[in-house]
Amino acid sequence: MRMDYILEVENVCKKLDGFSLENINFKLEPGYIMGLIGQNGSGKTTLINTILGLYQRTMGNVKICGHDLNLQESKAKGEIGFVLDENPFIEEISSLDNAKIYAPYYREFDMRVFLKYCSRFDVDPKKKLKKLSKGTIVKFQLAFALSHKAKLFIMDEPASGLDPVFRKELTEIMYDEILNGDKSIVFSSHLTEEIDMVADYVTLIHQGKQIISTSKEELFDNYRIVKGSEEKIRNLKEYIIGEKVTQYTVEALVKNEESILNQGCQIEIPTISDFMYYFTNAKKEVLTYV
Amino acid sequence: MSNKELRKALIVRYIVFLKRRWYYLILVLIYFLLGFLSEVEMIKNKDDTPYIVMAGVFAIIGMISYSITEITRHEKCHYIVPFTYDERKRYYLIGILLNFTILLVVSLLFIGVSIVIDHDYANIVMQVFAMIGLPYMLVSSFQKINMFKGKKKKDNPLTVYISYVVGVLLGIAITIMLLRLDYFAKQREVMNALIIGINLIAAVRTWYATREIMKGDTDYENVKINQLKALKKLM
Repeated sequence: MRMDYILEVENVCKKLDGFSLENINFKLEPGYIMGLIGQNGSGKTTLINTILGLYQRTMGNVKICGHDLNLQESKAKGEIGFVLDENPFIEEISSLDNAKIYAPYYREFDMRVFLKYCSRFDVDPKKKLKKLSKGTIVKFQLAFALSHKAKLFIMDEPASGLDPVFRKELTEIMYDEILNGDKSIVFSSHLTEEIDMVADYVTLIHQGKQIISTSKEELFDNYRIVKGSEEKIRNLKEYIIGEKVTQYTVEALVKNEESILNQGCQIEIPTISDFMYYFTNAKKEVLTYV
Repeated sequence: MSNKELRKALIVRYIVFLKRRWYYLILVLIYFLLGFLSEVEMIKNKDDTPYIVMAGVFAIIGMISYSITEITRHEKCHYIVPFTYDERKRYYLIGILLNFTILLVVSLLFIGVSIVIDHDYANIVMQVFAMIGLPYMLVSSFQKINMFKGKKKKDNPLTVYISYVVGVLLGIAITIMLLRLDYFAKQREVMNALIIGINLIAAVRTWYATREIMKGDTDYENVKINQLKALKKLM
């Protein structure tokens, strides 16, 4: 059965003490990678916890591979492979014992595949999790996620704590997994280079609100960085998303319209880190929600 | 998941944890042995046993305490893996039933053997065996401590250490009682006071553990709600 979307997040809201996630909406097709970006405390982990079912939604709906997380919780969760920044497994026991305890919940868990990945990632399956480094625990979680034929991989800051060699390997694994076109990955990171490198779609969250959720291509097509004198930049006022004023020049993220040409400004293609900066930091009064 | 699959998952879990906490088994065996030796001592003296009702209460509290810990075991992973609220509830129920069954089978076996040996002796066995509820409670309190132990010392609430101290004090008290059971049997008032005292501490400990679990689960709102629902349904 061909499904249209691996993940559908519809108007998801979650209220916590002193923080709330508001109206998060996005869809992810099979075969793509989505990067969740935002500053620390922006709500990335809250959103991931809500998708995973760790938090009950105040409002909204989540569907995984067409299965409603409320109505078909078991089926929906069975399609998820998770790698979390905060290890959810039992630290007092070994990776192998953890796998033995949690394998029965997955219909398609294959212990041989798990041990194969442990060996590939250099994870000692007999060592207690509390004795493993943060990076190795991430590798163990990844081995577990890859062993039950998950369709949607949800990763919360997977690269934090990983050495550059495995970080590169993680990127390759991510690509390998989506190659067949039937799996997708959602991962959060504040390392924008990672998003630049691997993500097809980008969702930017700021103070619990969704600022952008679009394909990376569209993002790069629709916006430009312009640099020039204050006067020249002021002429583009209606297109400005955010700006940074320095002593000698003004730099701004603007909508990519024809009018920004021929203004005598230097025009550049923005990076993901530019989007994060201008949408969340620069001049809040001109901040536009997409 | 069917009940059969849930049972299988639970048995795998028991095996893994038993392998890890083999020393608890030794602890329980030591209590059994001490109890048994005290009873043999009492057979020789042919003392009567008027403590059976209180000892029974004592065992029930131990069992409830153990069960509560089983119901409220807080594991983040249980809320991520394909496990619905309904399945989780059934899983806990099966776990409690398994615990009770194991306890019941062992106690019936022990009491049965005692009756065959001597009827009066069987009464004493029942009394001492009832006290086994406490070691089980001790075991459960250790499990609970592990459950809440944070990665950093500052993450641990003071209640974790209080639980630990109360657990150890109870363990010491019961050990002394079992070792000096013949003495306490002669000093009935002291024995009564001790059993009532330990029962009270156990009851407070149970209440305290439940309260702590509910308070400690504020990280995951739905966990807190689900556990409260499960407790209401099961208690």
